[in-house]
Amino acid sequence: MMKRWLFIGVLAMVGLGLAQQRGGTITIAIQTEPAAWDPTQVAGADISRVVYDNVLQGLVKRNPRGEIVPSLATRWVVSNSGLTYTFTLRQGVKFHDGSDFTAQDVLAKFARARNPDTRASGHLRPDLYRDITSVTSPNPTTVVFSLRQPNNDFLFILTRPESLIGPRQRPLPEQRTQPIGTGPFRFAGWERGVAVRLERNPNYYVPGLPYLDRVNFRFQGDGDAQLAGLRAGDLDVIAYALLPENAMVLSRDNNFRVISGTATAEAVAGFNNSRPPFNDVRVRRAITLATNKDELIQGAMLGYGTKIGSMRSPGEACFVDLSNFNAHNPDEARRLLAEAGFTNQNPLRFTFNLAAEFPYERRIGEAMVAQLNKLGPLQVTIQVTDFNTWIQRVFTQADYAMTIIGHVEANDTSNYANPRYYWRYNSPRFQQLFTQYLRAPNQARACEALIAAQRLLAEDAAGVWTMTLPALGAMRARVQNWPDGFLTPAISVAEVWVR
Amino acid sequence: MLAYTVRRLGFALVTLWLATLLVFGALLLIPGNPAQAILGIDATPADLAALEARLGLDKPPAERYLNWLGGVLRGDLGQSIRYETSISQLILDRLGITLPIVAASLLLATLIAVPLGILAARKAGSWVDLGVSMGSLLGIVLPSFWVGLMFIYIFIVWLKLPLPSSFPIGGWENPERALAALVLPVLTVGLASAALLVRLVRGSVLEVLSQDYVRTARAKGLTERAVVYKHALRNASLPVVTVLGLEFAQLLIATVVVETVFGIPGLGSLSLLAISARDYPLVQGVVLVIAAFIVFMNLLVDLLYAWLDPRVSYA
Repeated sequence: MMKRWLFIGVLAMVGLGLAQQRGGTITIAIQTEPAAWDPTQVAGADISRVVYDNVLQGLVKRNPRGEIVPSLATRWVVSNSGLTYTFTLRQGVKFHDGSDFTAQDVLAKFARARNPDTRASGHLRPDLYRDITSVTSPNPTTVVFSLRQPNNDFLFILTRPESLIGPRQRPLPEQRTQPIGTGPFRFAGWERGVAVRLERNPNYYVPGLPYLDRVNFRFQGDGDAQLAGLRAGDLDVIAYALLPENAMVLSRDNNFRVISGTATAEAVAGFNNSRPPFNDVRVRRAITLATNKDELIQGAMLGYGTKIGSMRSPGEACFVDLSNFNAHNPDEARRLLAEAGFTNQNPLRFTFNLAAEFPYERRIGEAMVAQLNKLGPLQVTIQVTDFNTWIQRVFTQADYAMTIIGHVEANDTSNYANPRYYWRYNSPRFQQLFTQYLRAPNQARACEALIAAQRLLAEDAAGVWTMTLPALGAMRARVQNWPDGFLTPAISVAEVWVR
Repeated sequence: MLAYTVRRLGFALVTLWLATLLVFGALLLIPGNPAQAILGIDATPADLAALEARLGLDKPPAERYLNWLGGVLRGDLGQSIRYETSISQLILDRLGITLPIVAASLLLATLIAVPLGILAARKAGSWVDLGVSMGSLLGIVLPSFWVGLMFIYIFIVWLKLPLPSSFPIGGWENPERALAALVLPVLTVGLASAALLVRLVRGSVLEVLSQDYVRTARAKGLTERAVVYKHALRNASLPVVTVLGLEFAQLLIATVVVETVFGIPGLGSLSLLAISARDYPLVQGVVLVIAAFIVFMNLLVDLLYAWLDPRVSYA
């Protein structure tokens, strides 16, 4: 009897010890400082990292494991035809300015989102919402979307940062610098060049959440300064893009916890598929075969990173593992290059563009160029520019031969369906497969098409998908309950607490 | 003297104007524009065009420049494209952090360099001189980002001194912590400047000590102390004052490396951000302010010359 009580007592103590504590402040380092904080008006991964599901919410959201779950809508029904989506809105939700969240806010948001005149609407990507024919509200708790054709990505689109919802009367410039939403934290201030401050939303609709009083996101991109700040106690969390060597150091120290997992950021060594030499599939395949991805992961990333073979990451829906397709084979690479007319005596010369600001991609790119130059019939020169120059030359004008960059967004296989995208990959077959995926009558058929599309990309060697970059971060041991998945580029801190 | 000052001020204004014109032209030449910098790779060409229109980038460059210049003449540096906030306020906030760092660093540098430089010059060729030279060489070759990081590890992580490793969020709202945050940056910048300065002090004191009038002073039987401090030092200080003045203006942005290490939102990091964001009005605003400081410090140095050396006259 005594023993049992003792046992229960110990259990209770353990339970108390692990109970979430309310209150406290944490400071989280992020890489860059975005130009604004409203993802409906300005694009950028670091905007969503901060505001997604912390400040701003949409009808549905993706959780850290990448699953689509309820947010401002508590449930939804999709008609058998796939043409009607009916959402039931959460009741009693207030925006941070005290106004009620209503169906009218949803209608106003999607009217703005669908407006093809982006200058008037100030809303990005109306193309995402093209399949919508009407959005109506038959009663105050229901919103109905009607589509002109089935779209298997429609719910996903509603989870995108562009689909987050603010108060309908909020002026756009103010929403950019001081966003108002319905999330667990309200936006308390933006110190230019330093940090943004979030504060607990006392009226949050989930009882007991959030745990923290305040969360600061500090703009600290320098890896060594991040490490120093963490050790000195001025930073609690390095949320992502922790340098692999710093991860190794911190993982040996009990005062810190290193988090590492698979994200959705494919480091794509992209070709300009539209012009010589990379309009020749033999040359593209040769470059793929000359690349030793295992060595890149071990050498450049110290083992952090997941080998992939097409434009999709493990953990995403309809993923097919092609990581050993066109595996490292220097002899075959040389044979293909010779077939295309390039030999040691007459090597293929081209420039490989790198953007200076991205530590992972830069080291992967440099290591990859070293591998290519070892082959013999390749003479590759590296050109490093700042990101802005990269955007203009490579991304906007497609004036390049080869480059590498991380594509952070989830479910972005679709980029290859756009022949104007900077890879200039124009494959009618791929575009057809992607349309099949979007319009498929059920999930199984959709996946079938998407898997075929991934295979086609790999066979075409439309790019060298070196690896999915790791979600690599570190935090002080006092930080508890950090999200356990990284399949959504968001740093959702509603359930994080500190000891 | 007055006529000279007025003439110099006139030149200064023309210099400032030319500087803005030069910077505006250079910004047009480098690839990229602020809209692209804001949108990154997640936007479509239509999004880009809409943002360019919102930012007024569809207007011809000459019109944009004249608009900006007109604003400056009315005392308005305009709005930052990137931050959507007043440029004057941004620069003032940054100066409020950078100026104290630079001033304190130069003070520290002077306090270290002048006595050590004189000592090294008086004992030229001795072990003391060699030690000072070696120390100064070390201070010059060690990159300040490395020194800064080492200071964080030594003073904060190991010695556990209650100093922040970065400028506090909220800035001067918390004056004690903000001040504490400047200690290591000032040490880093100050020691680097002292390393440069000490060589200069040593050199000019040595040169002055070899002059005829010093020999005369010694021949008169003055103590070595009086020779050095009453006769030599004042003359030796001329080049030192010049360098200090230029160093002051230069450090306003040259502290950018230290600002990065210590997470300090100073003028250096602001100018770096302005350039990488292609925030044209912000770059021009910063350049204008820095140029104004340089011109002003030059003027001040010239006027100090006249005071330090009665032979100099600006009639």
